[in-house]
Amino acid sequence: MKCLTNLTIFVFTFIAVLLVNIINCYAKHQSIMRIEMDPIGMHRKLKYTVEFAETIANLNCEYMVVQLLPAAVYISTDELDELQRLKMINAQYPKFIDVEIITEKAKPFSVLLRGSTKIKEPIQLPIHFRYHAASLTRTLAKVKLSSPELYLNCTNDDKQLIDKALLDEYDKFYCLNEEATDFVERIEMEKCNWQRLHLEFNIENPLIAEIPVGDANGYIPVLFATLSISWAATIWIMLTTNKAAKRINNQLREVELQEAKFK
Amino acid sequence: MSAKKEQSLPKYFGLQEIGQNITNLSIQSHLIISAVIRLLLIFYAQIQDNSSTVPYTDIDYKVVTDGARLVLTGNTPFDRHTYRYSPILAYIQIFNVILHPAFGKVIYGLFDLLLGILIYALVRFELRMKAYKHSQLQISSNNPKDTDEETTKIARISACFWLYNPLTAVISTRGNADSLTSFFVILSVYLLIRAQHSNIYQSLIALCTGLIHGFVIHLRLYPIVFSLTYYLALSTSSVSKKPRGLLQILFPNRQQIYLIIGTLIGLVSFTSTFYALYGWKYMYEAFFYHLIRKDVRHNFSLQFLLQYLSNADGLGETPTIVKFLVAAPQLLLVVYLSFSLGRSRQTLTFCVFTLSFAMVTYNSVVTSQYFIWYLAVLPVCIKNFKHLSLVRCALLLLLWLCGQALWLLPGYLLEFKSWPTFYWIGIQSTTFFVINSYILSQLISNFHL
Repeated sequence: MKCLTNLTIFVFTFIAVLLVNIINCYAKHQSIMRIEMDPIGMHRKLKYTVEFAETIANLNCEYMVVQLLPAAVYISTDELDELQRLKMINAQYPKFIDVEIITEKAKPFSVLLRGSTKIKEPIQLPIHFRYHAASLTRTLAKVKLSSPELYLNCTNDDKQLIDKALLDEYDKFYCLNEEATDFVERIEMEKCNWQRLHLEFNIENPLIAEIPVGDANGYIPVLFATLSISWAATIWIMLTTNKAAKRINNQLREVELQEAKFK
Repeated sequence: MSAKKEQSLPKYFGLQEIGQNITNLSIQSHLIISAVIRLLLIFYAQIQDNSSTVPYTDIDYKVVTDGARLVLTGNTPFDRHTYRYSPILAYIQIFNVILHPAFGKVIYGLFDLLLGILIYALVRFELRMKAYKHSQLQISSNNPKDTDEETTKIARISACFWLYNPLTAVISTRGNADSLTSFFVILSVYLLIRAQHSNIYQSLIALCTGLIHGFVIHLRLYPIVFSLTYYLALSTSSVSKKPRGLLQILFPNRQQIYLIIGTLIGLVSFTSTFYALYGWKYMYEAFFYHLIRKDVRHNFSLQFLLQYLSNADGLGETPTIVKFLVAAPQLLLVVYLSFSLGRSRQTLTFCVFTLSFAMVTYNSVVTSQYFIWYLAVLPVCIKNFKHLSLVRCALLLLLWLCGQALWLLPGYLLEFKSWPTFYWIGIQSTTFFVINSYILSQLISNFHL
């Protein structure tokens, strides 16, 4: 009986060790993306560090990180143009983003960040948070950024070398839709070579930003205060300067009269 | 103690001597120094833009250059998103694409210098005319040579206020075209004042002033508020006679009719030409957008908090009466200032200054860039603040700067620390508004002919 118990424990331990090894091995072979976001402010940076699985890291592939940005977030296309010019980022983004409108009137959009499997350096994307409309019920809005997707495009030779288990769906190919800054599934006969990579995410702090929201309960008092102050200031300026204006006009009158006398 | 005093005295006098030497430099020397400063800033901009992620160059300059690129390829500059200016700016900056990206900055810097020359000429002319009148009326017993030297010195100091103002030098070398607008505003004022002393070409000068005024309204909308004071300044109904009514004041004379015709020709010809070329998009982007613009992001305006809160869910559209009540004080002040200070050409420059100041103070969106609208006119008026002591001037300046500094703190906390400081910004914007109102009142109260 005791022997049987020992055997059971041994078999159980063996299976457990085997499982842990498999998991470790799986983890080693998965591509991992680490994402960090600045903790505070309306202007932050998203930092992506991609650690490709060994079999991919040695291949000659380009990749695209697709980051969907919610309506509460915008990018400055002019800022990204500058970063592209300085070769600090290689990205595709909509041609025009209205930076003045509030969250409630904006729409989500995607940004594509291009990289190469051979380059290990992280990619930094500067993002900005929009103001939210003032609210009667909340003073804080939580903006959650979704995890990005990663698409891979390798040369035909290298494509054969990718472990199929690393891809989301190995037989599915995607086309890059540059206008929509997104990927679409391949329609027949089209030569689209992008494949979606399965990613493990390593996110230390959740990608959630807390954005202050103004208290709309104060609208009426603020309206009255604004009107009172602007009207009071106008009347006060008119009253205090009226004397000076009269003095100036009197001086002008005197000069005119003297001129008339000498004429 | 006395030894210490002796040691410090030569140092003090040395500084004073340097100060004296600087003020005694000729206007040409000041222009050369200012040109060198601007060229150095343009050169520095190139270095910073090529190496830093925080560019020196204004984003609008790049937008206009992109517009110029489109013009070169036969397209409309309005295809460049956020191009919201007159196409003339894109035409000026075509050379950015053909010759060098900094070409436009050189042009704007050049207008900075031209504005300095114009300020010098205007102040000197006004003071000379005043001295001439005094000598005619035998009020002053000064030696004409001394008076001329004094006049030239005051004119030079006034020009230096503009030429060495760090804000204006940086703004134009960042590629902002505001000095161009300011130049034409001051040119209009200069012509109106010259017209008074010209015996034969008065109507022609009034027409030219109108053309320039129309053109500058086409460039930027804001000079439209000077229209009433320009019109009143040309009035022949003397301030010494009691007017029978508004009709008598407003009834147009020959010069005023020429001014109106010139303004309409200047405004309509440019605007209709560009409308024909670029269509409705031009009208919307260059004019209507600025009228309906609602930027709720933090700025210096008194109306910032109100505008932000008015976006709240469930509040609905702001009623027209409220919109009117919010906009009316600015309009009222413009009319009041035009009638109380703008009826004589001797107070015209000051009236234009007070109008610019009031308009910026009461505007629905206020950023630092708008300050240049009145900073360009202020140097022409400093000669009239001789009753304002240096200490008092410094205090007013300090107050103005404090108003901005106090506003910056909650602005920083909101933008970079995510603090909910909307109301705090609202309070600081109000403080800045009150400070500006006080400064305006003080300047008017201390203005002397």
